[in-house]
Amino acid sequence: MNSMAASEMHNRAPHRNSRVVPPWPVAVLAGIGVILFALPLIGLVARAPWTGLWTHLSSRFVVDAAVLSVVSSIAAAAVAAVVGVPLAWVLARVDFRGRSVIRALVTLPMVLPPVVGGAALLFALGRRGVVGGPLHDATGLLLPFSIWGVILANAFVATPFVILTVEGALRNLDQRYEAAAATLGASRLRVLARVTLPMIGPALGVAVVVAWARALGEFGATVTFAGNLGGRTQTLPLAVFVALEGDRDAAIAISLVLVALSLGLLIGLRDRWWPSR
Amino acid sequence: MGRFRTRTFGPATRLGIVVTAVCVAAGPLVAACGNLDGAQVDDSNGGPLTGTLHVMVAASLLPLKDELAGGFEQAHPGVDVLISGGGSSTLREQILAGAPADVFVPADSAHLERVQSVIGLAGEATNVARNSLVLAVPANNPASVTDLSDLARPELLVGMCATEVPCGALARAGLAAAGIEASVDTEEPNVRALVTKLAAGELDAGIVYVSDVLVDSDRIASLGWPAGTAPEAVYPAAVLATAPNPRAATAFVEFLRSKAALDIFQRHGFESPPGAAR
Repeated sequence: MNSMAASEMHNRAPHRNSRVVPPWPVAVLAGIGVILFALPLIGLVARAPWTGLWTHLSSRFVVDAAVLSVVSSIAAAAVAAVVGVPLAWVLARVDFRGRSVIRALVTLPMVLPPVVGGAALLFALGRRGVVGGPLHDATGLLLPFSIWGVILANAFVATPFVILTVEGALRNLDQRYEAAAATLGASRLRVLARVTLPMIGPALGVAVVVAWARALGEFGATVTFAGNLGGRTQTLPLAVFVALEGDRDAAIAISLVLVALSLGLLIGLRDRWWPSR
Repeated sequence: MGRFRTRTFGPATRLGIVVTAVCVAAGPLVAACGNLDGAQVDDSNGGPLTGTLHVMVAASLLPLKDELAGGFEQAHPGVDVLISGGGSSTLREQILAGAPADVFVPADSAHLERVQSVIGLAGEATNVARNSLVLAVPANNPASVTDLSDLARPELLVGMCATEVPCGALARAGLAAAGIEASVDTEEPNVRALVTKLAAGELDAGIVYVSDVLVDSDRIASLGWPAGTAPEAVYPAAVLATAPNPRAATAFVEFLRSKAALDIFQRHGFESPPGAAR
């Protein structure tokens, strides 16, 4: 039975095996795990201002933040895809010295405290930043305190999810299809566009959705790099942070929306997001 | 370019930080959290003070935290003082949510009164310091700001504290009194975050405390409050009713009112609180 379970782990669509009963310590610890993640949600739901929910959610403060969040997170997901897919391809297909260093560098935002990322962005790309300074002098472009700063901060934390997911998919890809296309005379770019990308399409879709969800929830890098101003740089997570200290019911109402959205998204993805592969 | 400060911590403090982190995460579940180093806190009036003391201070007091902790620990070597800080409203919410704090020093009395009405104070609150707001600019004043009215110039990058924290509420009241509508580009969650962005030159002007300018005087400059009387923040200190170490907490609030503490406050640009008889 063990070997059966093991072989099924590699099956893309394992059928449910109702005969598996976990040993009791596993069941207890797994149960504690579930409680750990469920409890905060219960707290949120218990404190929710159900009767005035819509009033809270339709206030100018929340609508402004929601619009900005939607626009900036979609833009960030697009940036993540445009930059992340080529990076993933290079990491999966090109064998070069320092590849593991590059991979660590580009996935660093996954483990870095976002506020550190935001501070680093500010000192690099701010008006007086190492790169941002000359950029501002030459073009007048100003990233902090603007929606561009929000998008950049969001993309900074979201792109690694695309890179890891797509690299995993590329590594799992049966390369004989690409080889066949090349043998038939397709150029390398054409192989990429007509064979590789369609084959990793589902994984790419999942990657972009997860990156979008991460961008939607981004707080630390955004507030540090882009600041906080209602209607310009105040996204939903920033609105929650501000409202927690002023209008707690509004904060909980926004939080519920974010939780519902993220949970729905992850349920929708089911088990398709396996970043370790 | 911003400057990252590094601090070295003694072994006791380092342990304290780890333990505090654990206690903040699991405070209600861990019985030992009231008394981190295991020493028994003697609640009778005799005997030296011991144990860990958690003090939560307004973000504007953070530059003083090592000196304040050091000054108290010198008089009470058995006590390990841990000072943490943030926006007064953030701290208030943390305390209301059960953060294991002994002493609360916000930058206005409203936050303390809220804590008092929900969880209560041990003894009276007492004002320990005063701080005034100034118009601040990066050291070289790139946008040639001279007056509060410059804050209304839309092309300038202007930062303020969020209205939830005292420096933001006071600044808005001061600007309203001066009849100025600022064209604000960011509302920072606490004054230190605002100072960081000013010092980095990312903002052209902002309203911060005079004490903040002294901390970073080579990077930011104060233009004072060029319109009558500057808005002032008064810092009350109080022992929380739920203080795990009430004796040391009471002694710490006493210390904040001492001449030694006043020296520290004044060295950093604070003044003695209104009506204080020292």
